[in-house]
Amino acid sequence: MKDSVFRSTYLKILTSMIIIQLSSLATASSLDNKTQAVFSKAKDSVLQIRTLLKGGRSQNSIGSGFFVSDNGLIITNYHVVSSYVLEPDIYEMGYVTRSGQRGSLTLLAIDVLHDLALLKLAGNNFPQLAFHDGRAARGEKLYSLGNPNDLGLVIVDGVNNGLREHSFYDSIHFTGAINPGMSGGPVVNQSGELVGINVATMGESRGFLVPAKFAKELLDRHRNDHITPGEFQDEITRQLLMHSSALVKRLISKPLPVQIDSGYTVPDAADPYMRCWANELVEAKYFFTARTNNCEGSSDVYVGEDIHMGSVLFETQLYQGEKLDAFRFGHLIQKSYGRQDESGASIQRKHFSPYKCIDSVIDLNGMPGKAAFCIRSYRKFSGMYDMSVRVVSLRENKRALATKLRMRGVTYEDGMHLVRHYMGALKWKN
Amino acid sequence: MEKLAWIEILDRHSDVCMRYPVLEWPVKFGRAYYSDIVVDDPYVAPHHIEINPAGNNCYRILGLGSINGMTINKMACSNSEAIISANDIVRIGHTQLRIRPVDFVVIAEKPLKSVTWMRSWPGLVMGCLTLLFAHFLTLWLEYNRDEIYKLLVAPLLSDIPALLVWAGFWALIGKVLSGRANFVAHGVIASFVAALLMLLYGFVFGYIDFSLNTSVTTNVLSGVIGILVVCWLLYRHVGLVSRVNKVKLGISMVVFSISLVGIDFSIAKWSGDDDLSRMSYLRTIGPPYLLLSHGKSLDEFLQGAANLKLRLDD
Repeated sequence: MKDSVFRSTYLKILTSMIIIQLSSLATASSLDNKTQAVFSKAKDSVLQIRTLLKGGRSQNSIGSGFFVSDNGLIITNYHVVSSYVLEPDIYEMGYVTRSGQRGSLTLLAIDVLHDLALLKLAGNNFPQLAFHDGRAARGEKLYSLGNPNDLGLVIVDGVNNGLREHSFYDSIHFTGAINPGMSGGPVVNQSGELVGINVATMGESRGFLVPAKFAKELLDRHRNDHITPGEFQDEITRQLLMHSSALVKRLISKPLPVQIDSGYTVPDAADPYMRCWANELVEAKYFFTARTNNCEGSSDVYVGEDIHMGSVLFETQLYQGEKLDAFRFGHLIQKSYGRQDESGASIQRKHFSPYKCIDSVIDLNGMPGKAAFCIRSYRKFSGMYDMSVRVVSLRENKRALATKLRMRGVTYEDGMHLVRHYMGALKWKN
Repeated sequence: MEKLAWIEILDRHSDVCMRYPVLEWPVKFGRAYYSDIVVDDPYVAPHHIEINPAGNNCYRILGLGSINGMTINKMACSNSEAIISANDIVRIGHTQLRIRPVDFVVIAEKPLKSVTWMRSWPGLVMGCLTLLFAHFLTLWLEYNRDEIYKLLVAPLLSDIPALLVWAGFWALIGKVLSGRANFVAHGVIASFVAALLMLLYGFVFGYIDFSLNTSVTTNVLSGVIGILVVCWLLYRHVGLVSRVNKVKLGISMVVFSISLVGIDFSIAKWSGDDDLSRMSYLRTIGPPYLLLSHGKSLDEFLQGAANLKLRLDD
């Protein structure tokens, strides 16, 4: 995952970063009257949202949020409040206004897949932001507001670069400096209408926004709902089940595209959201060549600090060792493949059951191979699993295929559909 | 005067530490200075026992009313009188004694042991060379010839000094405990065991699994065999440095190794199935078998997966 979700538990700020941020701020506010106008219009709608240890005043995470109705409905990112959602017994949510006023919030609804949460602050006559109708034009100037690194409210200008490519869910590519702490802050156009919500950055002004339409949908659906802490996990699970099914449906809707290499037919990127990266290792001292092809997509959903679910990875390695005898080549394959284990750190025990695995020699479309299937379940989200299938096949004692399909946070049925689809694409051509 | 018998005072290992000739019967035994044999054991009465011949190379021990009494061959003797033969051991207080007639038949002379190669410098050099050869074989699996010679320098510089330090450690303990260092013997044992372990783990286990297309050797037997080999190594080292009874030492090593095997299995079980490298699935991928055999169909394999999921959900 190259996008860093900017959820700041600790404020580790480099001096150079502050300087860059402050200078861009100065440019934005002194030279551009439009920016000033947008800022003065939107500033009172934005709040800092934080999670705190229950009964304490110290923050666990900070982000931003904004009013979308005059009766105190607030939109922010799910990941800003995820520690509260996952552990409501330990954390609570709070807000801080520009004037330093503090208070608590209630959670009305979450949309884990688009990383949104709908909160409520008791009261009336809050300055709300209006939604922009329709799609923002590519190249349009946009203004992002938020509270980077707890430094106070800032406005940052940038450009709408359209929808992000290779993204599973729609996401706006915003070229502007958004930083940790601005998560959940609004992004508005020159008329001050909401276009998107800050969600992630890849650094160097490559920011990503949740399109405002998803926030509007969440608001319309749950305006009058109230979700109780006991229902949080079931709600997340329900949404993850939808994600798992949508993801797998997309991958199995048509035959997997394949690559043919050294006589083996292996699966390739199955959907535009997936991208493949390849390399070849030629090591004279090892007597073999290894070609690697890894396909991964940006479909994973942030659920908690150590939990990203709903991703699929294809990994293929082709080994050729013309100069090696059977035993040494077998040893090589065994060693290179054995290295990539699914071993989990002990901290993961909190979230997962241990892996269980089976292995067997199998016949895949006339191609013999050794296959291993591993599965573990999520402790908090029942019905969700991490699964992997590995297949190794040797040909003529000097060519080998090692391939892996890894799925995180999918249902068993969806996972099995994909396993069948994937293994059906493995063939030997000669 | 003619010697009638010998009375031998034994240490706790039943080795003789004092031997007194008997010139006349009876023999009085105790702490008092008017005894025929005086011992300084405070748990012995001043006048503890009296010894008389009972014919047929047996002797009558007469208790003279002590607090602690006596035991014959570690059995408490309730009577004040007992008949013993030449191999019975009488214990009074903390003192052990045995009575041998003068015509007791001793075992035949043993020939002197010649120094075996196991205890010689050439043996140690051979052990080190075997260790290097084991390194060579494991490197051969993955590297070409030039690389192997370069990579062999590392074990030459690290393993052999480590081996000598290990042997030195045992030699030091031996010197302290039994007065004999036996450095070379320790070195020979350690070098051959190290070479054996390296051959087994780096090569043999893999080769057996590869040829037979199983994973039993690497996954199960390797742990058991490894522990047994290490126990055997310790048995040899401890046997060289101390005078512990070999049978007892052997039994304790067997118990030790069984408990180690148990601990190994429990750790494997406790640590769960997280670590796939411990698991069988890719330990072996024997090409002859893979090419010739008819594997399961995909459906059968996925049925196994379904069973696995059921087990996980329980």
